[in-house]
Amino acid sequence: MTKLEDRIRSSLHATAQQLPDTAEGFTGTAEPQSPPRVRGPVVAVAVMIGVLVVLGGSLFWFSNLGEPSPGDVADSVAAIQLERFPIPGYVPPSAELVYGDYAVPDPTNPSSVDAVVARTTPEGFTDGVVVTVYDASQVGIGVPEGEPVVINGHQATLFRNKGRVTLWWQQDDHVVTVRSPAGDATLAESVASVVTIANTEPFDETVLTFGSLPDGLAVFAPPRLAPPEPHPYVQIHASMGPETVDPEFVTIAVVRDTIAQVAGAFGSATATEIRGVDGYQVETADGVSFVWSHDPGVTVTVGGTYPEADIRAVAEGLDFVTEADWRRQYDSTGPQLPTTTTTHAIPITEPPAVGTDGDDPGAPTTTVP
Amino acid sequence: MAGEERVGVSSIPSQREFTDFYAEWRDPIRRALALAIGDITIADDATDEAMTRALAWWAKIHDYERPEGWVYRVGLNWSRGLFRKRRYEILTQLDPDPPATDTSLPDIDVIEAVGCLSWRLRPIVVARYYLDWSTADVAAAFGIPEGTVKSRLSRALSRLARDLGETP
Repeated sequence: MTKLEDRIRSSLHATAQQLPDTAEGFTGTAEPQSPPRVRGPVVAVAVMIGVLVVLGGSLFWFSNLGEPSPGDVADSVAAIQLERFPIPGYVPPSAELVYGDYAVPDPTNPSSVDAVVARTTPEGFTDGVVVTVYDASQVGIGVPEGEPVVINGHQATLFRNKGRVTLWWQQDDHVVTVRSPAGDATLAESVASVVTIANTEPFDETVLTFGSLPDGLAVFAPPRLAPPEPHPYVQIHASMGPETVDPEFVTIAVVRDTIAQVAGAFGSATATEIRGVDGYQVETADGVSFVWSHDPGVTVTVGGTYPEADIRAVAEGLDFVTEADWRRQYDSTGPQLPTTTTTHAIPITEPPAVGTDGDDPGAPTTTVP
Repeated sequence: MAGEERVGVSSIPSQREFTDFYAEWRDPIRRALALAIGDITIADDATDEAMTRALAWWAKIHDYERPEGWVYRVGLNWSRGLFRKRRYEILTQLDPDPPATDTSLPDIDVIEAVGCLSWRLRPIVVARYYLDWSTADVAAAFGIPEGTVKSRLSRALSRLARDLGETP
C-alpha cells in the first residue's frame, strides 16, 4: 500500500470512528430496545419503524420464533400497512394458485432513469418507445450482437428479440437503450436521435431529456429514477403434469410505479374500464393484460395466456389486503418459508358477478383450510 | 412480465444466521455509507432500509459470497434514488466528544478531497480503504469487473494525489 493509500485509509477509519453511534436495531426478539443514541426525534422514529418492520416481517417468516406473539407486533405495525397485496377471488377452472413471493430486488439490475414516449389517441396510446439510461459504472459493458447503426455520432447496435427492437449504445458514462415493443426500428431510431443525456455536477444525477420528437409523439411517462423494488405477485397456473410443456397462466403483479410507466412499457394499449376505474388493455405476446392504478403511484397488472374473459374476471375478482394478512394467507398454503414459492391447489370456482361499479369483486375463495 | 422471477428453494437459513450477520455488519455498513454519502442521517436510513431488504431476501442472499456487499450496494442505490444531496457534510457531523479510546484524528484535507470525488468513485474508495475489501470483493459487491474497480481506484487516487499534493 502506498503512502497515499495509507493516509486515505487512516483518515477514513478515524472519521468513521468519530461518527455518532446509534443503538443496535435488531436483536432477534421484540424485547424493548435501548433508546437509540441518535441526533433527532425523526431519525429515532425512523429507526424504531425500521426495527418494527424487521421484527414484524421476521415473525411472519420464521415460525419458530418464540416471543412476543405475532399479534402484538402485527398490531404495532398495522398503522403503516397498506392494502396493496393481492388475493385472487376468481381462479379459472382446473387451475392452481401459486402465492409467489416478492420478486427479488436484483442487485445486478441497477438504478436507471427511464421514460416512455408514445402517441396518445382517444382510444389509448400507440407507438410507445421506452428509453432507459444506465450508469455505465453500475452495469457490465457487454455489447450485444446485432446490426451496427449510428445514433448522433455514437456507434450503436440494433437487435431484435421476440418481436421487439432495441437500440443500444454507450455514451460517455452511460449505457442507453431505446426499445420499441412493437418492433418498429425506424421509430426507435427517430426517438433515439433526439435523446439528450447529461449529468448534473457535482452531484452526478443523470438527466434525460428529449429534443423535438417526431410528429404526434410526446412524453407519455416522464423520466424518473427506477430503483429495483420488490413487489408482491401471485401466479395462477393451469394444472401442470409431467406432459405439460407450456401451461396456461395468469400473473398478478403489484408494483410501486405509475400506470403510465407500467402500461407504457408495453408500447401500445387500449383504454378500458377495469374495476370501475380507467385502465388499459394490452395485447402481448402471451395474450392479454389489464393495467390499472390501485393507488396513486401503485399499479396492478393482471395478464397471461388464459382467455380474455378469464383474465378480466381475475382482475375484477381481486381482493387487496395488508401485507400481514397476505403473509398469513401465504403461510397457510404450504409448510415452506415464505421466501420460497409455494403451490397450493384451491377449489374451482365460477367467475364472480362483476358489479358495474367495480367494487364488488366477490369473496375470496382461497380461505385458510 | 413483472413478477415472473421466482425465489429459489436451495436452502433455508436460520434467523440466528441473519442476526449474526446484522450484528457484525450493521455498524460498518452504516459508517461506510456515511463516508460514501456524506451524511450520517441518510446513512442511518439507508442502512435500515438495506438491512430490512436483506432480511426479506435472506434466503437468497445468504448464499452470496459477501452478503454485506449486496447490503452496501442496496444502501447506496436507495440513498441515491431518494436524495439529492447538496454537500458532502460528514466533517460537520462528527461526534464533538468522541470516546477517549480514539487516538487518531481525521485528516480534514483527505476527507474533503474524498468528498469531492464523484458518486462513481467515492463508494469504491470507501469500500476499498474503509471496509478494507479487496478489489475482487469490491467488484463482486458492485457487480462490475475487477479491472473496472482497479481503473476507478486508479482514477480516484490520481485525483486525490493531485488535490493533496502527493504522489499516487
